[in-house]
Amino acid sequence: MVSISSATLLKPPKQTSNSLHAFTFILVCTLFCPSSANTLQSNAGFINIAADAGIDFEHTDGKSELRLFNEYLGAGGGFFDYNNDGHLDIYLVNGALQTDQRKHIQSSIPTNALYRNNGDGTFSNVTSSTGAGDTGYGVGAAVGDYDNDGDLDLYVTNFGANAFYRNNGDATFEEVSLNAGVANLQWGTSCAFADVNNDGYLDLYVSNYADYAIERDKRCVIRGIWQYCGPGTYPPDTDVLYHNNGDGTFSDVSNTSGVLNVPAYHGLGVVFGDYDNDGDQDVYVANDQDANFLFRNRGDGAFDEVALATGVGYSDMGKEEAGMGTAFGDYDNDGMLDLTVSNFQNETNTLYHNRSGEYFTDETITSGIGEVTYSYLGWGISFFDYDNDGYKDVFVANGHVLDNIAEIDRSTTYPQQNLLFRNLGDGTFADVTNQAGSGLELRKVSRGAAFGDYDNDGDIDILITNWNQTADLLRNDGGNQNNWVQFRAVGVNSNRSAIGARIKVTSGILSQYAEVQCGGSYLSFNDLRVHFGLGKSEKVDFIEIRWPSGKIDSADNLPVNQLYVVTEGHGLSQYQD
Amino acid sequence: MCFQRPARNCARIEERSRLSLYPTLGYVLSVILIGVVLTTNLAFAGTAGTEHLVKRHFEQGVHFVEIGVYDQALAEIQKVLELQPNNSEAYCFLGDVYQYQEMYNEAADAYQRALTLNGSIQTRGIANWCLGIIYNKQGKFLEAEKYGKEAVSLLPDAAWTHYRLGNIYTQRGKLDEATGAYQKAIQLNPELAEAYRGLGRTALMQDDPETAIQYYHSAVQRNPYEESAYYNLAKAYRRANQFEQAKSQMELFREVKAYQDAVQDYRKKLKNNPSNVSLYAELAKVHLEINNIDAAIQEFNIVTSLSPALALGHYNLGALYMQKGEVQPAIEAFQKAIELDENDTEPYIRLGWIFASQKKFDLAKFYLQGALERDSRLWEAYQGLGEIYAQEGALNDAIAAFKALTEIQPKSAAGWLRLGTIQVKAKQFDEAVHAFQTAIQTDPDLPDSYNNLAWLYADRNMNLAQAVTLAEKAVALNPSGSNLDTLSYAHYKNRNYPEAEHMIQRALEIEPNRDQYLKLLKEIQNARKINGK
Repeated sequence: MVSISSATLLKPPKQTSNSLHAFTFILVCTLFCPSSANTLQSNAGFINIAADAGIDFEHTDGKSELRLFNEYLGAGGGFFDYNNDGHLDIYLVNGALQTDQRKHIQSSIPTNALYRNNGDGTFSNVTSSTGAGDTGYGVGAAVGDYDNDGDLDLYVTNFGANAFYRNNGDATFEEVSLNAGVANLQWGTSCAFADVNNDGYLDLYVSNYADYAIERDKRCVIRGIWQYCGPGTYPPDTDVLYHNNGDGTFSDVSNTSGVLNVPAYHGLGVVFGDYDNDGDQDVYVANDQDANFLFRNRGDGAFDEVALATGVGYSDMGKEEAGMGTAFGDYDNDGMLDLTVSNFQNETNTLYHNRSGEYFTDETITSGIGEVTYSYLGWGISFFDYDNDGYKDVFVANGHVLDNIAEIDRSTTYPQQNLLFRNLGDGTFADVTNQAGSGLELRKVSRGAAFGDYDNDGDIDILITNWNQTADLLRNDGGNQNNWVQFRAVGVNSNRSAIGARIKVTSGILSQYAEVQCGGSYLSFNDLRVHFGLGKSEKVDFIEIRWPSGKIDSADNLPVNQLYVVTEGHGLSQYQD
Repeated sequence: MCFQRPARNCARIEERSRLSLYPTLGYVLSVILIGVVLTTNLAFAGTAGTEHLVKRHFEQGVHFVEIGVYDQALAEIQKVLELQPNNSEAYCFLGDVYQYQEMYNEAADAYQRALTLNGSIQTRGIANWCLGIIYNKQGKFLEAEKYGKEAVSLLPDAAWTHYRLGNIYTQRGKLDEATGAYQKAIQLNPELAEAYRGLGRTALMQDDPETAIQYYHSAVQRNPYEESAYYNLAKAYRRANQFEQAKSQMELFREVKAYQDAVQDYRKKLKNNPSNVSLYAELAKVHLEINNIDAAIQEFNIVTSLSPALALGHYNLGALYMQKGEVQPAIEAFQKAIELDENDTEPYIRLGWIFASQKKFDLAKFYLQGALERDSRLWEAYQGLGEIYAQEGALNDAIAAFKALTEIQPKSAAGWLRLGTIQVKAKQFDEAVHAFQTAIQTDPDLPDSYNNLAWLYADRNMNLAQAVTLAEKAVALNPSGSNLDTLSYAHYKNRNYPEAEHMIQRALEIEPNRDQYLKLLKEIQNARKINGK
């Protein structure tokens, strides 16, 4: 255990146009406002800097113009530091051409894209040099250090064989899916790494959508209007759990682990988390127009499906909803992971409150999230503390599935505004979308959303993928006006990515909890570093890390506004750029 | 039509999932017919001829809605509007039809148009009501609340307006207002299961599981076929730490949900094939599996409406009414079935039995004999006739009928038993013994055969030892009061009074006030006194 006495800000906060105003406000508030940070209006806002930063990626679904069933799910992406330079890089998943006609016309082949963070607010496209530009019909992705060699590897789900890119440690990747035994041929969607049996190696969960082939595509016409078919048009497919053998290969343990003890459903969103706080990783799966799954880990990597028993399988009316994205997060700081799920238009997003790890209560309406989200078709979603006030807020990416929805229902639109909910600290959320900067004013057809502090300025930025559109990189400006702390966890006996490590941070009267998580949201992956907003607290009184191995490390009296590297059994150190 | 209770159309539409919208046509029919009656009673500005035409187009519209041909229904409404462009009820009907097609924007336009016209308070109230529901569905909650409140102010005595407003409040998180609205709805209609569910939901949201449990149970009592009540009961019990109850409610949820899922699957199929009578019949079967007879009747009402010449449809409808205990509509359905297919013997038999149970023996005999005229080997008809003759005291006719039955169904132990019983009444004891013995041979597990033969032997002082054995067998198979009484009687006849008294005491334990037993007890006790035993 190491106590750090000196505080070094990694980078100064950005100068923004309203920084003077914000500074004045903070001064005034320091003197006169109530101490609870959540009672303050937040000055944090988001601005889309994708184009300025050199993120020129534009997603394509293949543009068949045939409304093929596999087009509308879009694709994901995420933040990860592939070259270990301390700056989050960006990976974006792309579709592919699907018809012969298009293949003849198109000159260049769409690929996934990897953008290296130059550390100065700009990115460079390094797809070609890194070899990570998969050309499959891409859907989702996840990262984790599956071989514990100190760099992050990349798994990509496709409509078709999935791809697995082993990081060579020299800024290049090698596609190893066949040798590793994870080239699943089903239609993969979201995926996530976690060590489900705590053997020190990351396992892999892949959700699959439907048993569909372009040759069997159907034309759906409703009231004379040709539109994309719904999920019920094609039979669902089963998910897959791969166990990491520790030698670079994986085994399909879907059957023995209990993942196949449930009906096949249209799987979309996947997130790992220890909802019952028993030291192992459980899995939640959001299914499209089917009941959702909660797989409770028995402790050995075998699972019982307990969604109905715990109250997270259905809406509060006992109905299946069109689950898209999902996330675990402790929004009320009680030490138990809560759950949120994005759903279809005319279904609210759902907020499940974890009650002592035994069951969940549906707080969708009482939290204030229900009324606002009802009109939107949600996808990428996460809990994250955008204004560093110590309470996790909620962001959701929205966009319709029907490109011609205007012909069918004028009460909604194809492009939609994304939503930001500010946690008021009392179990309720306020819709602050329209007060959160120009980045939240965009109306696009969003799908994936990933979260991470790409500019290392102490607040969380958002990467958004959009269907057949450019991606957005929403820089958080002003979130760092409150204090913060970040941890990069490194497992030793546990998996090296430390996925599943639970961190408790106490500052003043407020304790917060978070896990190192891979996956969640929709088709996307987040920064593996764990971020805590601290409000006006000037120090971290205490932190405790419970590693997947069961080992517990702790430290106290840490300076704020720091990124710490915490190594299992070896304590903390300040991160040096 | 937006008259009387038509906004329940909106309610029903709202409750269905977005993939399973199909109107409950029986309901629509009744609603629209109410509307037609009222419409024709209204003094529109047209002539009597115009009114006649309007009525006809409404009726046609109703018919097309009933069979799911909405384009035609819309065409009929357009004709009404050509004749009477300011007919607000027609615009409401238009809104309803659009809703069935999930064309909510068009439906809202139609209701809005209805509101601009000089309709009755009721029509305006219901148009507001439907608009509240549509806007709530579309997530336009402010507008929904506005129209919902207006509906309540126009129709303050309609429970459904309060209930729907409660739903809008709930969606907006205004739980106190929602609770008030649901309570008002229940005050106006204490049988409104939906309002109890609403109260349960708000109680659960307010972290009051005990209250939620009470309300959800009230809802289930009134409508046991709605899965959300069980789902939330399970949640409420779990929250109240009553885990066993939670588990059993979860099982019920699974069961009812499986049923509702099956229903929705059929609704989806019917949406693409609205005139497929077989699908309705299969759907009715799904309802029957969970004993939802009302819903099954509703489906067969549609079947008979879609295919009025289908005799089997009317027959099944009659059978369902019988299952529900509604005799008069059953009679009408069976008579309609006969009218359509006079060679189908089943409705004859059903009618014969119905009239027999009503002691209308002439009518009963008419139908049962009618059945036999068409098929002389219908044992059910002989059985019915036999019972009627027996009740009329025409024992020889009754015996003849049961003999005919046993000739057709020689393995019918019940037939032999009944034959023997009537033969005893007719004092044809030897024949009765044969009948009872045949009944025993045919079904060795039928206690009444042993009992009757034992009683006959004892009463006739024949084979008294065997009478005891037979009576013991009857008691072993079914230790009922009457079987114990016979055993007692057999012992009594065998002068085994202690055993006789013991057995009749056992019978009296089961039926303490049965005169017959008390009388036998007295006889046994007297005999014991006389015989010093």
